[in-house]
Amino acid sequence: MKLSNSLDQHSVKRIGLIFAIIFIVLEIVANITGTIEEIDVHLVNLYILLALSMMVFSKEKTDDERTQIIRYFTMKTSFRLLIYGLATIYLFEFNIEIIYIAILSLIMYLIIFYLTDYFNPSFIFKEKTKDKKWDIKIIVGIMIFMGIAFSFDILATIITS
Amino acid sequence: MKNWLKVERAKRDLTQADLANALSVSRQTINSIEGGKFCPSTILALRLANYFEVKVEDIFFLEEDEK
Repeated sequence: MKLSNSLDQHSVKRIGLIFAIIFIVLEIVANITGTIEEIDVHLVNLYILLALSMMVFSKEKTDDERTQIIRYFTMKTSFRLLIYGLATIYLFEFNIEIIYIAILSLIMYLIIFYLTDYFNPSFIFKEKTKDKKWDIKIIVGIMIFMGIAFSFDILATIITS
Repeated sequence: MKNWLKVERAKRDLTQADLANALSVSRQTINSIEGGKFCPSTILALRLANYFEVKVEDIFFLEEDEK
């Protein structure tokens, strides 16, 4: 069943794959041979990002309703991991270029998508009767902890002054 | 929800790939439906029934606890 969606045609995915492989290999070879300073890394990273985007935002060969459920699950999971990753980087002040985070999130999307498509886990198709929302509970817990810690910090500053 | 899709397919000596091609879905979709992992949409269920020339309820049926 052909479903209409706003994604690019499947051929775009193949083009994206070819470009992604070329530029990733180019960057790896340049890193190994020590010629990384001779190429414009920013431009190569940008090409990798665009090539991966072409892969992510294009249809599968047979794009049916099951594929769309898998796509939704993968989008949700990878976006959630991206947010957690960004929060960790922000919290611990890691010095990472933002384009690498974008590239990593797209690679993560592709890995999750094809693994889910291959292994076909039943839990993504089942409707949950009770959502435990464990991740929301963890985030709320961290926020409460940080709020208390921040309040103590302010209180300590007031007392000492 | 359970189904007799595998039985209907076997009656007609069709492979999962044959059925998938006939309905323009992936082979994994047919495999998931047969395994009871994936519950198809109404339109796909109707198309399956139409393909086998049977009623939808001849292929798909609810289990006792789902009624």
